[in-house]
Amino acid sequence: MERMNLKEVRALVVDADQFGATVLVQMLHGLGLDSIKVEASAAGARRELESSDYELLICEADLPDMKGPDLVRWIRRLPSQTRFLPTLVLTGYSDFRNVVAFRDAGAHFVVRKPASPQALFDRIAWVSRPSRSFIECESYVGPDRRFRSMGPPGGVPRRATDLSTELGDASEPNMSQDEIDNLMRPTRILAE
Amino acid sequence: MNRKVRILRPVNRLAELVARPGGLLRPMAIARAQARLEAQRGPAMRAIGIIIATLEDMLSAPLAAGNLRDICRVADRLISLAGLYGMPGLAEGGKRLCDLAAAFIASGDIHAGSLRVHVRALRLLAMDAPAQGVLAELDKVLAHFGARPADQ
Repeated sequence: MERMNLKEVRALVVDADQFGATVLVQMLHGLGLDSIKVEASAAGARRELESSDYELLICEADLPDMKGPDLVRWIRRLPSQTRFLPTLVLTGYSDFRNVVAFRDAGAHFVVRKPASPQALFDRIAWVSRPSRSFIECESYVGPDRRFRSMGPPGGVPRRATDLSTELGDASEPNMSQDEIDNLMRPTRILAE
Repeated sequence: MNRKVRILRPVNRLAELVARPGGLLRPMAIARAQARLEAQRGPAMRAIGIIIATLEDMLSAPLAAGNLRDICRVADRLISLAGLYGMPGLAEGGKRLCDLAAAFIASGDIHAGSLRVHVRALRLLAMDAPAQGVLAELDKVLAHFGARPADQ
């Protein structure tokens, strides 16, 4: 995405590091966000999310009172529309070992710090994609993480309703060369 | 086991708002954000000094395994600021401190002296000491304790 209008987007930043939050907020203002609320704890974030509407959450992975992924998991199980909130989790270098746990919590994107202005712009643009569906099941609630259709995983049997992979013998005579040429011939289509 | 899966297509209000007319082109938005980042350079340099002093204080007392996690947390802040403000040598030094602390957490065997050496190295790197030589010496310490980089 080459252009974004973030002027009316309400963002909640959750970061216990006061100076780190200041730097992040300054960058977000530079990207065009006007409305940014900062909370220093998961408890404060939960209060905010229960009482106000936001379009974007940017959350530190390591909060003093709760792990960032646990906050995301709590959001994903809310009864309101807030459970679909686009969410970026920022991880420090040492927390990056746990990136899979963060992803499995239902975050839209895990961003490793330092989050540069370029990275922030591109990740916000990514979570702004309107087409991404949401998955809700017992073990996972969050954005659909599948981006490519790669067929069933190895060793998984095909469904009974799937067509057979065996082509079998031809049931009709082969086409003649003339019939094939006619199929390939450029055809002029006249508009009515 | 309940295998019920629901696939939902919720309205993405963020998508609606960012697509409205106006807004900023990517290069302009990034330049504005970079300018605001640069305006914080003075406070950021002071914050880096405070973070290194905090690490020195933490290592002046006897260490327990729980303190190592705190050292990583503080070093993470240093890595972020150093990365944002174009100090790659200092950021790499911070990463090595995290890797060493993580190795001690994993082994349960804490060598506080090695951690202190790393923090002294951070002081040097913050003062623009030649990073390559300092980092090479830190790598020898990491290799001795079998520390593995977090990003591998």
